[in-house]
Amino acid sequence: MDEDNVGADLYRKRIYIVNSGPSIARMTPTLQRMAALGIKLARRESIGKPQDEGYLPRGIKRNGFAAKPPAERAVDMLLAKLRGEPFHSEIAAPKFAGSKPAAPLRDLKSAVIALVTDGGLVPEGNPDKIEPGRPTRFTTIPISGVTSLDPNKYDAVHSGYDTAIANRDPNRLVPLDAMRELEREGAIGKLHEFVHSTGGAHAAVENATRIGKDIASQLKTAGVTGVILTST
Amino acid sequence: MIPVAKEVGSLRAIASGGIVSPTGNPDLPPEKEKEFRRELILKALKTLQEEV
Repeated sequence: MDEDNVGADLYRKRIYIVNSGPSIARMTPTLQRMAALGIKLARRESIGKPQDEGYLPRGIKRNGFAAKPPAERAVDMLLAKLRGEPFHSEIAAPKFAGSKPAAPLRDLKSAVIALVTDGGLVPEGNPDKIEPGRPTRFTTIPISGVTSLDPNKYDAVHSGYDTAIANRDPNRLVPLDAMRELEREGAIGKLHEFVHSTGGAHAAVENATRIGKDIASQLKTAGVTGVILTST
Repeated sequence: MIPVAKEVGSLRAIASGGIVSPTGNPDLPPEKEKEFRRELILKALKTLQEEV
């Protein structure tokens, strides 16, 4: 498959996919590489790195010894980059799809504003067991009738920052008290009845993306028109 | 962290009260801290109304 083939991302971790490139003009060398890799697999020989064997990287890391220590390799890469020479990063920079910002809010006084955080706000006891690191889920905290976040009823669970200050006053993490005030004054239409919260410490990009999309979908369904997301 | 946020498309990111206290400032007396929080939220709400 070509690297941009939708199937490549879906299956590259499960099977070896030889990188065919986008054009069938390369079919002959592609088939040769497939045959060579197939023979190795059939003989249960050890399979080398993706760039050597011609398959798409599978996200597997193996420890090995390098000729030069990492600091020297890093400086070599930087010098090559500064000279405009080609270099090969040992770790691929993650590609972010990026998103298009929403259109500006037209009328704040009728807006439904939601509070969201990646600072790990949870109800006391963390009933949904939001992970302090590498989070895989988010929690939905009901705040109907709550005018301020009581430190005895809410916690911050997050391994990426010192949560002591937020724990003493969770409004420092999710500004519920200020938003309620503005809601009472009519500055906004309504404060959404749920706070969605997750952690951001070592979050895998796939998990963070999925969590973000799920939260956004719930907010859209609920008629929320603006979000303030507080981040640590 | 704002450059990171902007790089992934969060163009309406604004500076917070800091990593451990995004919408607070523990060095301020409580009433001043509430004012700080209110001003920050008002700035955030204003940003939501801006074109980016």
